[in-house]
Amino acid sequence: MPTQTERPVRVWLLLMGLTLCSVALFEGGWLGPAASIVIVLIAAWKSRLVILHFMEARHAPGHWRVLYELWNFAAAATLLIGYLVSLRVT
Amino acid sequence: MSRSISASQTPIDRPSPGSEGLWTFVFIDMMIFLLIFLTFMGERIGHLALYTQAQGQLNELFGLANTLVLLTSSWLVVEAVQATRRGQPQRVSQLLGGALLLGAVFSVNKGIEYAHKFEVGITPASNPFFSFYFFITFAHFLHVLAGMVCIFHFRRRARLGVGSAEYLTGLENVGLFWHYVDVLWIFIFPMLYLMGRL
Repeated sequence: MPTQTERPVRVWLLLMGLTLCSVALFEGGWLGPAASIVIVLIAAWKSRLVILHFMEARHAPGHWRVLYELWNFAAAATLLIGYLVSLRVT
Repeated sequence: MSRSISASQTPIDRPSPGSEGLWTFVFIDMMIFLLIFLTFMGERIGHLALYTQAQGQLNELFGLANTLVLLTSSWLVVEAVQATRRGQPQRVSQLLGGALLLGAVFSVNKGIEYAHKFEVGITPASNPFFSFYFFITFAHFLHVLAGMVCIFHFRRRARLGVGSAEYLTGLENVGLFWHYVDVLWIFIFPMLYLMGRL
């Protein structure tokens, strides 16, 4: 089990890696809707990591963890559904 | 309520981080930004060609740099909160100084990005996409500035000692707000700079 002091650095490294993956998709020319969808899913994953590990929502009263996680889901769903609907319009 | 905790305590023993009021304040702000995201995505559907063309005028490297800067700054604040729990004022001061420096880097980067836009004649009045771009990024930037003021204040106070429960709760609140600023940018970056350009 990771100690208290090493856990944040591991989360930070994962966040940096996920960010670079997002931009690699863009710069690497992986075209198409799939790339946009993956980028939003990566953003939702990163946001959840920050909420749980940096904000320490894991240790906050349960209702705050639920509400913050629901917000994260709603934000990702807003981007994804908005994007997918725009594909149908074109 | 007075509290005294250490890094060796298990999560079950540890009181919840921050104060109820700050969790509420941040959540209200989150809901406002969610409505802004919803409005942007709705408008984007209605004017897709214009939004896609305008989005192509953004340089994603500015967004990427600011994402990496904010994530790193957030991590330093987490470490500062943990150093407070261990009672290490000098370490807290150093870590908050680093977070503050990165906040300044974000601000300079944002200033350069805005200057480039104005140089080529792009303003909030240019088209609806850039209205959203300037509104969302400037509202976020104001959050960065507010967070920096709070970090600066707690860095100064750290020199006087970090042993009080009041200082710890205050710094946890600052951290909560600073990480929220990070969470916002995590969504703003793909929404404005990346999504749909692919």
